[in-house]
Amino acid sequence: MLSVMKREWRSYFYTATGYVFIAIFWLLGAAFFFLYNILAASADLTDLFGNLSYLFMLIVPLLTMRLFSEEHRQRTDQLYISSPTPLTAVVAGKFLAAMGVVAVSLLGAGLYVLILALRVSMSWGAVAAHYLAFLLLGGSYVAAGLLVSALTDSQITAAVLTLAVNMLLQLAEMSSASLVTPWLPFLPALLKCIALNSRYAQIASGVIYPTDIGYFLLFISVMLCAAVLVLDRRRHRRR
Amino acid sequence: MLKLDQISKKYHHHTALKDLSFTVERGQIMGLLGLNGAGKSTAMNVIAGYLAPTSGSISWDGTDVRRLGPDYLCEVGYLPETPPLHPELTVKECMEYVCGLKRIRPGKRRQHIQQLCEMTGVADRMNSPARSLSKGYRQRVGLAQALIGNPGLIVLDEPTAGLDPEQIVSIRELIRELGREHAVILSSHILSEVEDVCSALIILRRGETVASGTLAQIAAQVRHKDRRVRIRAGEGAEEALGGLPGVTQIIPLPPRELGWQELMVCAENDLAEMIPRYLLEAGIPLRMLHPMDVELEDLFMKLMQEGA
Repeated sequence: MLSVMKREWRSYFYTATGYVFIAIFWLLGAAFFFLYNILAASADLTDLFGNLSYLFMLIVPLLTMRLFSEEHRQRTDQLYISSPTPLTAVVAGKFLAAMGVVAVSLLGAGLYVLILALRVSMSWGAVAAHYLAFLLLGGSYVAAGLLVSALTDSQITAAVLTLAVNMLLQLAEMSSASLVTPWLPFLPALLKCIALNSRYAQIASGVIYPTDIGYFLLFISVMLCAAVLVLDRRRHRRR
Repeated sequence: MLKLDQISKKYHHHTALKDLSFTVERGQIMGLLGLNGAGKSTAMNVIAGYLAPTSGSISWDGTDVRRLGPDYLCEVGYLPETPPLHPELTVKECMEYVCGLKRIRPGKRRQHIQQLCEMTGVADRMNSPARSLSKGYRQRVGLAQALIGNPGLIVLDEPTAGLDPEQIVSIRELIRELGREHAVILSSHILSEVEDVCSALIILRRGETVASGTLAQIAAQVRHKDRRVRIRAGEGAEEALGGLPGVTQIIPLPPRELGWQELMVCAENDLAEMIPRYLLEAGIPLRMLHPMDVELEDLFMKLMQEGA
């Protein structure tokens, strides 16, 4: 797992992907910080992190689109499939490498928090809650993107599908109220249940229930396990 | 020892490989031959664990590889048709990555990588990114990757493709060297290479085995249908030999000596002893008779034509 993670991490920074991702995150993060905290003279981080989470949803395909699709296309997947390293370790290594880039992005965003801390007294518990919520939401988006990448040989297809899946996850809660039909009475409740947003908001606000954290961890695990199954299935179908 | 037993691979309605069976022992080099689409690469992918067979079984040293799992994959070194290199990584990093996948201890990696890079002739490019390498270098780095962990079974899909003549000679020598201790399976489009390097052959046509064994054994399977003798005889030999029973074709060749005919006599059986007697009786002088060795190229073409 370590060698896969190391290689993937190197690839992010040997190509422009890692730098572009972090640069977009930090620059737009700085703009949100200026708008919601400096101009509004507010120490509340909810808007800053809320907008960063939307931004993250839009740019996460940059991180995940090539994770497997490029390996399929270049046939470099032959290396790990015909090696004794289990596919679970390969998937975990790639997930952790992508999460490493997310973590670096989030650490950089800590600068905005530090700037605020210089002028006002911060509630560090609230800051930690925002970070925890963001990491869990980010992990879910990355895991979904990784699964999509395992399904295709095209980076572009992977990117578009990842964006679509993440948007569906975002919209699930919003659309739950308007999707009341007599044929599917359970649909609104189901959409509300799978939605990530309300759980994110709950954790970010400092109200941390194990069920919310558990849901994120379960979501990530299911996505990663599905990716392992997809990769194993390809051994049987590949030409 | 690697043993394939009735291995088949199907994709929907297309059969890429049908009932492939053979064994390769340590110290043996097995060549896979066939036209494009014959199933060579599919067979190699299946042996290397990249593809799952639809049916049949593979065993390594007597144990089914499904039971061996990762332990079998530790024993396999695979160079696919296109060397799997990550273009953004340097040669050294590519090698380190494969060392990690193959569970080589970190303390042993540096020396092992250095040794393999020297063996395959890429030590001078260890810090170059893979994307900057020529086809020949990429091929050799792929070979070095396949040798990581000193695997018992080495699977090489066209290992000399893209190499210059000097490199081809050195890589063939390296394969011969590897074949002394390891079980080696290689495919190649260069028939002379297979003939030169391999101790046994499998000839595939549309996924099926059409011939297998050593070159002599394959020749024996095909030989009775086509034996050739080159002769240099006096005028009238072509007409005279046309009446000899068993002769299927007489091909006139450019004369080498003035007044003598140069002929290639193709026959269904061995005529090397009968031709002098027959010509003597016809009063035609015979200056030279040379039974032709069976060339792999001839056998290959014959087997391919039979299936066409």
